[in-house]
Amino acid sequence: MKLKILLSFLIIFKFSSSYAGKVLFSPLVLEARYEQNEYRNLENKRPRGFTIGYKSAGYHLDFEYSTFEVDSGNDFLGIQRNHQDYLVWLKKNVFNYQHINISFGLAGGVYKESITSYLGSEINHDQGISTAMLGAGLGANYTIQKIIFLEAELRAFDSQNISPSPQLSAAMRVGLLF
Amino acid sequence: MNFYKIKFISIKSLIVVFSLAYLATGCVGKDQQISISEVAFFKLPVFNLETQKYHFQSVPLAGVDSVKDFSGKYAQFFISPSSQNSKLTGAKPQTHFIKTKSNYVATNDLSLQVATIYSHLEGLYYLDKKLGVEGINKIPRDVGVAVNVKDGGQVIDNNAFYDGELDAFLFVPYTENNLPININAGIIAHEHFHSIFFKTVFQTLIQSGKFPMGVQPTAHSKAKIFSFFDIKDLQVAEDFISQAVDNETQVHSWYSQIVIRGLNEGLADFWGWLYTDDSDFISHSIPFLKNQRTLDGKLEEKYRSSKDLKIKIQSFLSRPKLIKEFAFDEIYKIGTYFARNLKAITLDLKNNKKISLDEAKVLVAKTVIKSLNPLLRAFEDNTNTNFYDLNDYLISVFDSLVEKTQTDCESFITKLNNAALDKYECKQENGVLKIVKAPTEDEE
Repeated sequence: MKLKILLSFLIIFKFSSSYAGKVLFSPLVLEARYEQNEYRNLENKRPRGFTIGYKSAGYHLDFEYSTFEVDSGNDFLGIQRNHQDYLVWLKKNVFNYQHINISFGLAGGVYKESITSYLGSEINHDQGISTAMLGAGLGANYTIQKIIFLEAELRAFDSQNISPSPQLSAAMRVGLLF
Repeated sequence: MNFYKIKFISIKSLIVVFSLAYLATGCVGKDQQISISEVAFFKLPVFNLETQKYHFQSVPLAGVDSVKDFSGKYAQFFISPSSQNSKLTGAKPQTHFIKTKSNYVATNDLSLQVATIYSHLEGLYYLDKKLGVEGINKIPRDVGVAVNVKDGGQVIDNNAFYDGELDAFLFVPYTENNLPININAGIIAHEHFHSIFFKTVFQTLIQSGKFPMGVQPTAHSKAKIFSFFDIKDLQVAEDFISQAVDNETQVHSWYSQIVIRGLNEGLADFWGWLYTDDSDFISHSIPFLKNQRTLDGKLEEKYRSSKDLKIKIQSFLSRPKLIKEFAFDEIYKIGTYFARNLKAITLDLKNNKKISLDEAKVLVAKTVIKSLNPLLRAFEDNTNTNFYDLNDYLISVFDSLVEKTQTDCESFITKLNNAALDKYECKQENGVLKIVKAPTEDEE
């Protein structure tokens, strides 16, 4: 599923790149996303994922996939939570200096969570309904030799049933432009 | 797709579109509010009588205001709380659930535990209502989870308490690899009964100075600073009793403490079975107590006569280091004796009266509630020479029973004569069926 999404976006972006700009692919996104735990302390969930996008002179259009898992409980009663979010980012360059761009972005998409619960020998799988999610971010990116792309971004997400609201995140990504 | 057209979109337009999307999606139902009149379904562990195990099941819960902290009509929760002015205080836990097509499903163990406790406090409220005692406890009940409790400097885990002073349930962290205590329906019902017993018996005895405060774990004043509750429990009893000048008073005080606490534990175990139909509810979370606390064990096994208990207390008075351990042991022996007998009596009444098990349970539970008043009176009038006879409790339950028959009386007699040194018989006195001591051979 994830591979299909990735390939579809690559094809779309590659096709569109014939008009202007370049396709961006970042298989490595390091993110620190701070969620409130049951004790109301902020906990870094360290999502992992990838970004694929289109970069023109003034704008980026990115698709970002992130996922993280959290386990809790004991050997008898355990809960495994899997979080996945799918976001489309539209980013505008607001400041350029040589190879450095500062951009402001807005995102929209959905997140889904699934739960695997263990109770003795019983295992249950539950799939949550998709929930709309929005994001905003401010980032700086740097291009090396027109093909290597480095980006650092501070973001905030909001949705139903996320805590805190908004949820803060910092992401770093390395990608290729082609 | 002509992406170059994007160039004509200004940042202002982006912000406007984003804001509209935010208003349309992000803000609606942000706290997952569930109105009090609504019933929401949660996937929770429920005990199954056939398999004798807990299984996930969809459970309807009413009155949940918010699934973000699980406050609602029947319970409010505090995480690692402390106390202030005899009230539980602190932050509410951050609970988290996903919404599936039919249920809310907890995304972490603490959220599951909190929702499960809520479901049982709702269920126990309806049990109280059926028994006509829903006015004893106010709702929502205060519940502390992940509570830090110390006993003599040692941090306590794998336990639950009802604190009468705070009128709150305290659940400490569970560290074993079995069913967590917060999920165990029987243990929650057991603690719930302690709150009924506290308010109908202990509170009056404490107010009259007959018992020390701290017959239940009590929040130490340090709790306000360190967020740690210091259990005094039997230590308080020991301090209280040691103030007595003569041995006779000390024996009497220990005797009273052991008997009334034993009854409190036993009736609470009976309540655990009453609510769950599970005779081994404790062993799901604390397996090593299975043989000691099962309600299916031998009826006479745990019994100690009043005389025997007095003699043992006397011998332990000279060994002050051991008396607390002895008292603790005796409390649970007496408790299990009464819990097993009350269960057996419930099953007998079901057969004698040809009623359903549920009807028999309600009948015995109502009778137990009625028996608490004579129990309180007996301990209020307790003097040094007046030792409450353990057999008197079952006799008092029989006296409180409505529409009793000769067969019912014989069921009680069998239980009493199984264990007691004295023998009992049924007798009509002024048209009322009574249990009386059978004359001894000498008397005959």
